[in-house]
Amino acid sequence: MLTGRHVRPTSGEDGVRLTLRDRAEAAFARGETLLPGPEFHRARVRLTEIRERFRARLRVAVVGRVSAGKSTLVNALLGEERSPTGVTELTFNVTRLRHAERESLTVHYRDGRPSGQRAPDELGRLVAQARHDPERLAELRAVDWLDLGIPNRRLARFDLVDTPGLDSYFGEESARTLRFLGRTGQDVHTATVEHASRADALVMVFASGLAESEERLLEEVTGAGLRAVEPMTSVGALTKIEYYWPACPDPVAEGGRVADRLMTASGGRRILFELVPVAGLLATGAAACTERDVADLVELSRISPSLLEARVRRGPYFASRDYADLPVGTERRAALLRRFGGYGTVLACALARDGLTDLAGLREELLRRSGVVRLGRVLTEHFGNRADLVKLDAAVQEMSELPALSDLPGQDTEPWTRWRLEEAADQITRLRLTEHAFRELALLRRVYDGSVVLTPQELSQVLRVTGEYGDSPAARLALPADSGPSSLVSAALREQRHWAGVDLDAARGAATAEAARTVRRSYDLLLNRIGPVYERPGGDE
Amino acid sequence: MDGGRWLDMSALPDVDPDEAVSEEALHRLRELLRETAASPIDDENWGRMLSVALDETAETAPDGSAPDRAVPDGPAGDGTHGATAGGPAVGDSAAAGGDPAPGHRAATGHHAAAFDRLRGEVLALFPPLTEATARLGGEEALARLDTARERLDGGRLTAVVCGEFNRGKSSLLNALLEEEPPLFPVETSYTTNVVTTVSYGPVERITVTLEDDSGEVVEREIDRSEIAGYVTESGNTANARRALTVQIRTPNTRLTSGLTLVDTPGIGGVHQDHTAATAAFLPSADALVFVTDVVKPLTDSELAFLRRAMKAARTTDDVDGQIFVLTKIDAVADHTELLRNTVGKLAEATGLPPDELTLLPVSSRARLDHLVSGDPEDLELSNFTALENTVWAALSRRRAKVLLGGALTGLESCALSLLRPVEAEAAALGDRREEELHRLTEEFTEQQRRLEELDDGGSRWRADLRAALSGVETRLRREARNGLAEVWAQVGAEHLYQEVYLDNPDRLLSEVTAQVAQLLGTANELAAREAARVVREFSTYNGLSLTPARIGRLPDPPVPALPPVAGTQQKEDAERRKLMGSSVGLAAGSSAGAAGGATIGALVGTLLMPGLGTATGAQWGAYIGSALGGLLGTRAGYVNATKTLEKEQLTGKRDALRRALAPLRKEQERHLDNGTAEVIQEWSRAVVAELDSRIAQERETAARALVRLDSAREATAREALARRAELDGERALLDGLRLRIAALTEEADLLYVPPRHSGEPGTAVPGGDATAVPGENARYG
Repeated sequence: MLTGRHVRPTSGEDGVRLTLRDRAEAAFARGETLLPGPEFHRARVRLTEIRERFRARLRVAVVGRVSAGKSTLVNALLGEERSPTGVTELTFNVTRLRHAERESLTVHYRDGRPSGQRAPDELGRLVAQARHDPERLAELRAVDWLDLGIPNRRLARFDLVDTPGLDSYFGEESARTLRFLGRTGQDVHTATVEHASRADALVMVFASGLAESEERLLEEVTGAGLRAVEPMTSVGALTKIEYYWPACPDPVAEGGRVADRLMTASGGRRILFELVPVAGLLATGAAACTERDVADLVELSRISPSLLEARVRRGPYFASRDYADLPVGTERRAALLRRFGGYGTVLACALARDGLTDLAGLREELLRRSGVVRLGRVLTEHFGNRADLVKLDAAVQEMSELPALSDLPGQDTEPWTRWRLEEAADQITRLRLTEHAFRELALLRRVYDGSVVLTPQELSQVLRVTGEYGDSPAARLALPADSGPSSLVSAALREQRHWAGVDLDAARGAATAEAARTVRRSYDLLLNRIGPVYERPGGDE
Repeated sequence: MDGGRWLDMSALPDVDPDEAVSEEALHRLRELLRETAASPIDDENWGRMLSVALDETAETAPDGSAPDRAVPDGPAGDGTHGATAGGPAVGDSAAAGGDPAPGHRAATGHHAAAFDRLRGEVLALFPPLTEATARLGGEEALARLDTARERLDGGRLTAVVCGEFNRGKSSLLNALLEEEPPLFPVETSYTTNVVTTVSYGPVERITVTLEDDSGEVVEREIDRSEIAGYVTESGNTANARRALTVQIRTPNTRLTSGLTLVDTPGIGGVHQDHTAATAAFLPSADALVFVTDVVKPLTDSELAFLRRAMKAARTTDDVDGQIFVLTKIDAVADHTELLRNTVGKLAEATGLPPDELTLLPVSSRARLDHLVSGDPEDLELSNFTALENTVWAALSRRRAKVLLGGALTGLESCALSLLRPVEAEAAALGDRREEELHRLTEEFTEQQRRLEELDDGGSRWRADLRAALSGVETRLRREARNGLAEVWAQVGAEHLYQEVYLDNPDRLLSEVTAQVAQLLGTANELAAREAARVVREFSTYNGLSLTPARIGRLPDPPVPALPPVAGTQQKEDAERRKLMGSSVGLAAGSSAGAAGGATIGALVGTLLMPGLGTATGAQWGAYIGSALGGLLGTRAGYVNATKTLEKEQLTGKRDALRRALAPLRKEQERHLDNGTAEVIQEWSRAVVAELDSRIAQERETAARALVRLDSAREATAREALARRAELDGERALLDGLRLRIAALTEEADLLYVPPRHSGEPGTAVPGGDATAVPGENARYG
């Protein structure tokens, strides 16, 4: 049983609180000092790489099958049209989108050419498929990946990586096209897997279902050596749910039901933290919505809802035929349908009918309903708030392979050299044992793989106390940000008592008891952090 | 019956005056008419049939068009969904054709209507002829007539619906069946995971075939509400209930003519047994409806499936039976771009020039909406009129003709067998009595002697037949082996260089297994057709004159399947199972719900079985099934072998996989050879039985003729006069029936005219007519 005596110092000598990141940086520094001299050059280079990865912003890759709606989702998350989208398979190259004060587009080439700057609005040209244009194809195939910097505050916590699909039309047979491209479908696939594996976390995109082929996708992703496919580092997005309409009057609700089933019945919980249904077209439509659109929507909202629905249901006719009973002309109707889709058009009209006729309000409501706001929040909380831990976890794994550098053929390694490498690696890998955060991580993994069973309330408590919803003591205790120390302390103690009960409940088994001890320890650390101000009521433990 | 009526009837076969065949038919009919005595015919049936003939033929060509016109709708160039050129027109003419049903009924395709009607009329010829046979003919003739009727009555036209999950297959089936509430469960996220067939039954009866805990195949009756519990992923996750097939029989009027729709699990799926079973079954299907949608462009696995299916279609010459459908067009403003993209990919995958490829944009939703709303705009958007016509054109292309042709041949052969003795007797009672008597007696005696010779077990034709069939076997085996070599060449040159397969050898195995399963199915289908050809050739060669060598231009009528011989069959099955042995366990372990080798037979069996009229019967299903079970078992053995490869380097993996798979080809070859041999053996039995039966019928006829000649010899002059009048009546009846048979044969022939590809838009519509299409089709040059 852990007690307060064993708590590692979490404050520096000057009393300033040290974070996980600080301790990790210190470990990297110690490791580096263990590797002096030219014989450790390679190891030092590797260590620097790993440290740079740790220091860099969290990289979230958006992966999924071709035309699953990845680029639409990226645009929806950004709230602006950056990745080109279309009805046919489109994305050919990998793009990293990151926050920058000024817009910039850097092209990294595969042929060793130095990377070059391009105008940001050229992105479409460099990413989008161009099957019928040999010149552009030649240009496209020379590109390794693209780095787009944009001043977008939604990228504050992590970078987004848009990838081509994992299943490409440039498949097995079209040898002609392939030779022509000089870049095989396999290459497109490989590029996706490589970038995904370089990512710290994934957004797995499933187009309106998770069945056989998606099972295969998972197989592919897990089989391709992506270490990130687990609930700690993977969030799912269920896209194209707007196509449930009109079969389902509320496709978002249906999307929720489908997502639930996929998570529970189909074993989604084993690989995904959460599966968020997203009506991507609704989201991008909302972001791009203009005053003109609103005016047209308001016009259309004046006719009876049933007539409107009947007309919209016949999509192509709604967009092209003259109807005396529709107040908006065909061209504008077509524009609305393209921008919002059938469901979006009907929904926006319904909202307008209910009085939501200002652009900002309509936009906000549509965004909320599309599910993209929720997805953004999940990404921020789940990835953003745990970014350091997730990256450190990756660093620990990579560092553990450092000693293997001495095993390279042709290198006559002294046992001593090997020992120094092991020592250096140890500086980082040791954190896994000493940092309580890793225990929490292990606990969460056990919860996700089903070896520890918690009630939904308990799971949410665990997520909360381990920093899912924010790092501050108040956030970890579900209290208002301005809560005083005493309310923080009593809340923490209250929770701790619950977990003490779980620990002692023999009926819940050894694994759960051990989990409960980990959680109690989390509250211990939290109490520690809240400070010495608290007076511990006697006889509580 | 006066002369005026007869004269009117000369216009009867005038279905299409431009067709050369019509001239022939006209001539034939005029000949018949000249021969027919002008004596009164009071037979009730006769009169009824004549009136039917007059009315129906008038109905066939209300506007001078052939009944096989398919006018698929397509998008107009400006991106809007083009005006349905064919829709209302077809609907109108169907209504003008006397269809009294209101609303959407009028939308029933021309082909469906034409086949339905023809089928009904052919079936209507059986009672009068059966009655006449009972009166005038022999046992064998009666039995054969009965078989012919049953085979048309129970005959099936099979359309298989394929496509990736969530593409809208089930909705399409519901829309085709006009089932509201839907028969096929439609879910937003899950997919059909069990092969489901739906066909006509007077009362709804739904049977699920499944494997019980002890591995036995059992059948269970369920009701409509339980279907989802077996065929959907949510109701039956990973097929935990181990369902093999669900067979639905339902009193749906769209199915009365024998249409059977098959819903398959998503292609390229993890349900490998079902994938293999579908692949084995595809060559026997009459139409393949490939479904994709506007939500997502075609994927690799879909294209791989199409390439495979196309291979079989080319071998069996069924390319015209492949129908491509783009669904959910109601969901987007404009599907032109995706349509173009899809046509391009389809062209590449199928090897068809884009301008010969028809991709039908449809909306199942609009079709179902139309059932409720009755709004013609819904029907127009749905484009289902064109879809139904295209499906029926594909079905009419071969099987509908096989079904009708088989029945018509049976009728004609029976009528001839009755007519011969009557004609003989009439001639013997004629003016040159002695002369004719002598000649005819000699002729029939000689014929009887020859037939006896043929009937003899040691007759030469039997040896010839064995030689012919073994030639067929050699050819089919060579075909199958070539196919196998092609499969493995592709593995060596392509698959082993694809990381996807190197990383997942299991997937490579299922792809290869599906391809080999398809080879097996192709061999089976070709064997069925070869058997029919052999029967025709032997009948002609040996002068079995009752069966016309070929009736019209219709395909050879199929050889009837023999009832399974219970005892020996079971024993062989048991042996086969033993042969497959441990593979069953391996298969079961390889994927959840995998049917073992022994049960896979049941799966293919139900697929191949769906009617007496199909060329292939139940036991062929079992044969294919057991060979397929062997294949799947073999596959399972390699799953484990390839699992160890995971950590290896790319090149290492490739070599290791190559080594691991090397013996598989040998084993597959053995299964293919055995499968082909068994199938041929079964067909040989059926061919011999059929030829024996034909000989028996001819012997009956000759015997009857001789009896009649004997009685003619005895007759006095007065008796002869009276008898001749009687005989004239009989002849008139039979001639009348043959007239109808000839007219219906003519129509069956015209059910589908193969498309003439001239490269111009609008000429490539399956069953279409170049002049009828205003160039609004989904094709791009």
